[in-house]
Amino acid sequence: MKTVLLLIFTTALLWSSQLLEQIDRNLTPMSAQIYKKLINIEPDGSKKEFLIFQAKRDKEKMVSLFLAPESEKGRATLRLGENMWLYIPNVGRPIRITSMQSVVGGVFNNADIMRLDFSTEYNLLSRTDQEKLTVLELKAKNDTVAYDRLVMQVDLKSLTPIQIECYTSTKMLIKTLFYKEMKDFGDGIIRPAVIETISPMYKDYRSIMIYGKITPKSFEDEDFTLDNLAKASELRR
Amino acid sequence: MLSTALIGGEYDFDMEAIETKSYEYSGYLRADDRYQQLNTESPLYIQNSDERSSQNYLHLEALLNLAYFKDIYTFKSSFTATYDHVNSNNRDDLVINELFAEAKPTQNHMFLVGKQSLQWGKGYYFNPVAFFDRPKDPTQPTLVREGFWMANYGYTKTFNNALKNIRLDLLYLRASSSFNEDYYTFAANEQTSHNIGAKLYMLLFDTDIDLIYNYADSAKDKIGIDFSKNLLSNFEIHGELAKELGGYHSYLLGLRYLSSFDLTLISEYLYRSNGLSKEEIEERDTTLPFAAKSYVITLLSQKEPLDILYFTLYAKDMLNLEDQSHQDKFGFIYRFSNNVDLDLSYNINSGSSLSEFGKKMVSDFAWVKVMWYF
Repeated sequence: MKTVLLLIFTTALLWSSQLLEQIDRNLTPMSAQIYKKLINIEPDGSKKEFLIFQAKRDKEKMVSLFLAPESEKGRATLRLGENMWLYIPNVGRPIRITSMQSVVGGVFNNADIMRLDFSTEYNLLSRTDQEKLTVLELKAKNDTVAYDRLVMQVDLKSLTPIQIECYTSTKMLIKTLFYKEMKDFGDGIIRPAVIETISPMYKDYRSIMIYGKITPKSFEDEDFTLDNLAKASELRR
Repeated sequence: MLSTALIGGEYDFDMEAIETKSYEYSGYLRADDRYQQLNTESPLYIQNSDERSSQNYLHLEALLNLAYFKDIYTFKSSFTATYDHVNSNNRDDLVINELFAEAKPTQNHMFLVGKQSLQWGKGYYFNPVAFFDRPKDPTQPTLVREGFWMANYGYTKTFNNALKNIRLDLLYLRASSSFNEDYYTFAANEQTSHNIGAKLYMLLFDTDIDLIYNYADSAKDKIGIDFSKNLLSNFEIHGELAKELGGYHSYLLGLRYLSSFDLTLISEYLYRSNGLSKEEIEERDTTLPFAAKSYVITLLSQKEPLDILYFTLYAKDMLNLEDQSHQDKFGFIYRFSNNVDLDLSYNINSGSSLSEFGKKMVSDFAWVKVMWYF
């Protein structure tokens, strides 16, 4: 009986991590370069746009480089697992930052911009299948993860998110992410090109993340080090 | 529904904007004005036989960074031009901050020759271990600093254990009366010298650690260590320790805390054994800035209060622990959407008439700073 229970538990664990990993791989390859745009839209309709290049390797390594606007150009962030640093050109040494703060302002924070794989940061607690989608409840693996719980609606056909609600440990809704505009990026990458987010803490503000280009690319481990953060633009070449 | 193109309008993406070029440039134009109330009891004011009660200090600055990439080579340059006008006196200057060529034949090895600003150390306002850097100005710690001419070799390696990454830097810097003159004057006892630096960086147990050694044939060797670590995801501590073998020692301890509502607290304590005591400060009409034995600098900044995007309020205190004098700064920064930043602050010096900040020629000043980035 104990063996059977252990087998069921292990299978469930494998199945849950496989499902999240499949969703992760449908969103981005394990190693890739990504170009995306962030738009913060204020209640009066005014906008501020940021253009970002990202290099990703494995499950825990990511570099983000701001290409525009000019006031942010050259800023770079490095994520190595739970460690995150911000480099500002001309200022000096990279400083340690947290995933909950935002280097761009607005509704998106660093965790949204430099998101690691869901399977790296969350465990799957439950799954509820509906007609064309399934609803997953995810729990953060540790306290350093930005959101304690996620409620994720996943399209069963594409196995990509439709909507994600982000909650604190006290079950307060922080923000909702809407995945839109399915696009074929080539190299077998078919995923939502747009993530739009709203937050009860930023009433009437909207933030939109638009993926322009996703390309599988191999990077070296040494590309994701503090000393190379000031030279992050070399990763684009 | 699968689409091969984004719907036009709000979701447009300009693919031309992400094309890579063989060159990059960036920089800013800056204009400051400080409306300064003069301290009529300051020894310097009395010496100058000044009769004014206030003055305007205008500062204009342009920074240009250029980089060119070719295969394994990078060529980088950085220039700053400044113009200062105060009390009918003008001064202009053009500084080469950096000018170097770098080669990276593999991801592990790097070779660099030229003028480089290293920016070693973990402190925000002071860096005792920055043996090959010019001192920071704690009132403007993010200012670009001019480097020194040197040769630098770097080796980087990553691992998959508690030690995630190492980086070894070896430098050679020669100083004479006509080459690296400032280093010759302030760090080489005004003797022609050969100086070697070594820094070993480690990311060990999620902690940044540097071990530093400075060999000098005309001055005493120095050793240094620094670290930076997140104790909690929103609470970071850092420190530096520098020791001149057979001479002074200096250390810094600092912290950075971020609250759930985006209030940031940065605080640093600096001690240096060869700094000035209270009595030594009182004996002098003026002293070099921040020359005392110990300081505490604290900055509080609130990002986007009342949900006003791109707006930050701040308050800063720089306290001389020897004579209890201090400079306080209250201000705000607003980042406009057209790459313009506005920084407006009120600054006030306090302390006894013989203290470091109390005897300054300026008692208080309003400071407006506008920067346009390109």
